[in-house]
Amino acid sequence: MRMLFHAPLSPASPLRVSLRLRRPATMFSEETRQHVLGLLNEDYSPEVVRGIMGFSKRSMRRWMKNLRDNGTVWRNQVLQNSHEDAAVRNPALTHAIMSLLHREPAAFLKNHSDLLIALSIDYPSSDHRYVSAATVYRVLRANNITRKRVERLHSERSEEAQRAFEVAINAIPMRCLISVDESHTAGSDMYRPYGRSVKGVPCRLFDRDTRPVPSKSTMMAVSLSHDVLWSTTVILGGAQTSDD
Amino acid sequence: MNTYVPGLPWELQPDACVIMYDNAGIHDAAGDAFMHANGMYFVRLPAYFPNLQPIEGVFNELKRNVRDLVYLNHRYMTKPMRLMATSTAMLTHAQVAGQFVRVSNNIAALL
Repeated sequence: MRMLFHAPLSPASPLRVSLRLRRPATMFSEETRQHVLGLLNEDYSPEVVRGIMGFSKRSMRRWMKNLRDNGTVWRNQVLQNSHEDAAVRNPALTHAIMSLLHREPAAFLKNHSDLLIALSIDYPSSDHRYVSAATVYRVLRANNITRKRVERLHSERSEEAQRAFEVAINAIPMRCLISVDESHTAGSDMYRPYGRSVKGVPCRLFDRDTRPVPSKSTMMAVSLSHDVLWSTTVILGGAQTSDD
Repeated sequence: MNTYVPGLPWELQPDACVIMYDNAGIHDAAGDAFMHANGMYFVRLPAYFPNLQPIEGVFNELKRNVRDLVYLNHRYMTKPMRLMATSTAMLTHAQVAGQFVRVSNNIAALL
């Protein structure tokens, strides 16, 4: 957000300059606002105060109204200059998120894209504005739902499934199983941060930069009787999104 | 892999006839349908339950091999495919079998 400041010159002046400065997080502090209102109370005219401090008359009127209505220069003492969060105050979105949380807590532990797909059932983007994953987590925080609480909800729901799986897998002999999965190997996986050496001999560790090393994805299948049954490695491109 | 024979007791089933994998996003319904159509018997791990997956420990051994190889010969860093192939070839039967034993012990402890 940027703000345009003008030098106190006449509008027709050819020397009029404009400076684009970054607006501070808090526009005008409470002390500054109270100082302005104090000047007005001392019978300075708004035009004079405006000339001294550079505030608009509309701002000063607003601060006076806030002081008269709320007893402070802020419209909302808690929020002060911050905007109210429309997403947090959206009952339809909050209801959709809380429904999904109690119906499928695992959705909040997966990829962001999967979460948004699961949420779109209750909160379709065709009917509403697009909701990002950050907005969803902000609504969760506003409702005192932490990740720890989500994980507990999920584990309580999945404990039954885990017990059933343990019984089922116990019946299958280990020799019958083929375990399949994929794993990423990045440059950081190649670096050995610690080493060993004979007493009195300095340990030789290479401080290599592993960042240019391409990330790799290895898909593998192992079994008790065949060891590595199948393995394929592909080199991955650079990550484009946080879900990559 | 061998073919699972429906109705046959587990003691008589051939080796390596059941595929076990996790709930990663890439393991979608289309993959399940493909395996089902081709007569492959598969089981899915419950969500966030990797301690019963033997290959997780195998990957740990694999990455240890990767670190050892790069430490001994830094030129492997510029040859990623050769690095992964050599690391995989270094996996021994004892290492793979040890992970299946680990899972078997985990199941016994949980039941």
